[in-house]
Amino acid sequence: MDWGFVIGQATANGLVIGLLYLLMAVGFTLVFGVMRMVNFAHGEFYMLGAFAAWVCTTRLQLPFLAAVVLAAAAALVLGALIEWLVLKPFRKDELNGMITTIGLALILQNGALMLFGPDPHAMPGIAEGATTLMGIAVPNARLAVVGFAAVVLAALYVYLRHTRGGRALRAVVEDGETAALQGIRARVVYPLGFGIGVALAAVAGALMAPLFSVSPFIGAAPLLKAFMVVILGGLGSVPGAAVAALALGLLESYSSIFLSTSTADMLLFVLVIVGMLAFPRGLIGRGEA
Amino acid sequence: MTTPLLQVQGLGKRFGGLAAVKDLSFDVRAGEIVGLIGPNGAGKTTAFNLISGALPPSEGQVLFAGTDLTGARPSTVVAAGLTRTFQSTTTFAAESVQRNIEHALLSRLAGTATQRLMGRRERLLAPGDAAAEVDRLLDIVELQAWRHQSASTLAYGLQKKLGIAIALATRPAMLLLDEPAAGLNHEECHALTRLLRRLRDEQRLTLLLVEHHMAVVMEVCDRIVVLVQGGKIAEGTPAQVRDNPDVVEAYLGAPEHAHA
Amino acid sequence: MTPGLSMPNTAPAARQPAHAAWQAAGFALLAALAVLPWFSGPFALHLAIQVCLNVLIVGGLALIDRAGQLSFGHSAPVAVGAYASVLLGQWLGLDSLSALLAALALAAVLALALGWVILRLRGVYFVLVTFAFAELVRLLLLDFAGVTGGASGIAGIAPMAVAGFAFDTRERFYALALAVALLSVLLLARVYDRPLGRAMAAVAANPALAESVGLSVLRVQLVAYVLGSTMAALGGVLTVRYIGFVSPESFATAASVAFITMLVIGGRGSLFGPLAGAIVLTPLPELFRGAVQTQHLFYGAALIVILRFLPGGIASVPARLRNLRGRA
Repeated sequence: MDWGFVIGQATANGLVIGLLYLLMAVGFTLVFGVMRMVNFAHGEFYMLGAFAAWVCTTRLQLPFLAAVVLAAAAALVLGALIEWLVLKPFRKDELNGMITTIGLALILQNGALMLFGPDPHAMPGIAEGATTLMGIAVPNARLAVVGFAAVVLAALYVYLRHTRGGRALRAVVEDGETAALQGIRARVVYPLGFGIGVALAAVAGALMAPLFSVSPFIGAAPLLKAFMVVILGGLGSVPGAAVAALALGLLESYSSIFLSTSTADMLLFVLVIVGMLAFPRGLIGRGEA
Repeated sequence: MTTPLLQVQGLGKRFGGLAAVKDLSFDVRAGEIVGLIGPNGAGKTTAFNLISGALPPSEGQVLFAGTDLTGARPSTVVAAGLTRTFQSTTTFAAESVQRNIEHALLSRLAGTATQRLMGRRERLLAPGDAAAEVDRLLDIVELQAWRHQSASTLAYGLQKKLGIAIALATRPAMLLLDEPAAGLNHEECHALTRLLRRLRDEQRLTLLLVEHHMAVVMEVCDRIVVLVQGGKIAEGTPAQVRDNPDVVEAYLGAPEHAHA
Repeated sequence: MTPGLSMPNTAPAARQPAHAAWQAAGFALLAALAVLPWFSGPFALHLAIQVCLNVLIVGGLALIDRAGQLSFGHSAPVAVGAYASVLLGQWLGLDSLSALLAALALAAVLALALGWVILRLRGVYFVLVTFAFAELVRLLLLDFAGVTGGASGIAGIAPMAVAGFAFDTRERFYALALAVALLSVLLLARVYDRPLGRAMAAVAANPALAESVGLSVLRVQLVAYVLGSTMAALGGVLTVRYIGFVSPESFATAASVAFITMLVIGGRGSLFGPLAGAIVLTPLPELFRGAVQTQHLFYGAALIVILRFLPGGIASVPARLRNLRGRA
């Protein structure tokens, strides 16, 4: 067995998965950081993103890139609207806000079930063949996904660092009270934060759609992974989420070489629970305890 | 010479590289009212939290009635006879005044699962005497008239009195009061000083206050400890402290040679 | 009963005869509803049994919530109770009653160990860990197929029997389920009234203040957590003895969500919350017969609406009506 090949392959896979976990987790932790709300519906926005991409490419015959952009835009608008119409009363009420997002998740998932039915749909692949990087064959489809994800994350980084809206969001995430004192308007920041957070989930869903099938049930697993990443990385810490996402992706990929999927899952769970107890502020200590 | 009730010896706390409290030592004798004062950022709140068990110290000792309470959990500190009040969120807001006090009595009810669970062994209360105890406490703080009113609807000054009653319900030997005069108007400050004196004289309590309100401190304290940047710079009676040039300088800033 | 501490929160003069009459009417109605299933055929009995078991399980969740922590993984102790009673019964050759007791003991010990560790976590983290732990339990059940039967589960489970009397018909089992549900409500009523229940309310309302009056938040929440989880485990034991079959799919996230939904819609702060939630939500799958999606959509919408406009749940309606009448 060529260990170099196996490890290399696993690393490549791990990074791809890690990047997608990153997209999910960053959105999730952004929503928590801005609104102190654990969004149980986050996985359903991932699912909606996947469906949006599927509809755009198979029904509307749009190119994949356009589909991803449309999915993100739709999620942004939908998310902002939902925050403004449904979640506003719970802005300061963590627990009830959480339960409300459970209700939201039920509505979104079952709405999708009623619209699209329970069976999985396949999406056409977005690229053929494979490229060999450093002796590892990576399918071009995955390379494209990595490329798109990197672009989105770079755009997010630029937005958070260099635009007024982004800086306002960061201010609220890092220190809500001072931000309020400085007059950053909750009316704009909350829907924007929620919209961007779930748009990231939708992008992740859209990007994953060609790699796996699309069905109303695909939101559950990414939600769980987002939880785990955010727990490890520290709730509200964007850099923490980034580190933890990549670490989790790689860990998952490596452990699947030696263990069955469910055993690997269990191991990860135990690791996460232990990690949370040992590092209450997250692996790099920048989240909340 | 009897041992002081509270002995703080060499207490210190570091946050990262910053020493919020350095080598703080002072005593409080039984039956005294001692005030802990100092400009903003002097470390009063940190010292308070170190003594009450909210924060573990980096160094030093806290001895209470001969027991070492250094770094002990808040509930252990309370069981030993040292109870604190809070500056904000002082009550169980959704409950009535009466129910608030009943909550504070719970761990003292002899023979109940709660008392056994909390492991409280001293100054217990027979369940049949609970109602009388509630009456007694309401009398001390003069809140009888508001007995059934919800704590959240009480005027601010009354909420703080309820906070004191809640602390008294634990039957402490000594009270730690966290800025009891904060936010009180003139009338309410007078009521507070009267209450504090009653606590010392009638209830035989020892009090340690952390306070900003100079008038209250000067009027009611037997002794005052002055903290600046985490260290004690003066200690004495109100008159001594008021005339101490170091204290004056600390509060006014630059040394004024021409004006004392 | 402790005299001073059992006085109600309202001013003494407010007890009217009218209020007592309404209460009596309510109880009479409940009693009638409780007896009805025996005369209404197997389907009504089946529904009634589910309602009773849900009252028990959600009651356990209500107790945990009462002390200030809400578990988003309440399906885990149910699963532990269910599987433990079957497996321990098989391995140790126990009759159903001994297996029940053994399963409850195991569930309690596990809850004690887990709770001691995770109850130190603040609200949101506690939620996430309980959620993750419930998923972990489900995966364990799926994975150790040699022991648990994996996804196919275990079938042919013997019905509950006590001293030779087998609860093997719906009529008989309903009697058992009804008795247990009733006892669970009485148990909660008793706990809420005692100092321990008050301590739970204090700890939930203001943990820092509770700690400073000598109430250890961890210990109080731990008692609630162990007791609540054991109640859930009992629900699990009885469920498998009734259905005769168990599989991990009954303990997926959807189950935990269902319990929370019942608690919230029924009413979190009230003794009758679990009852109201179970009565209203358990028969719904039948109303929406076949249209599962519409049913869940309704759950989601109901959850949001209740939280927004009636945060005290259905059980708070009588009190609200009384307030309205008082002001008129």
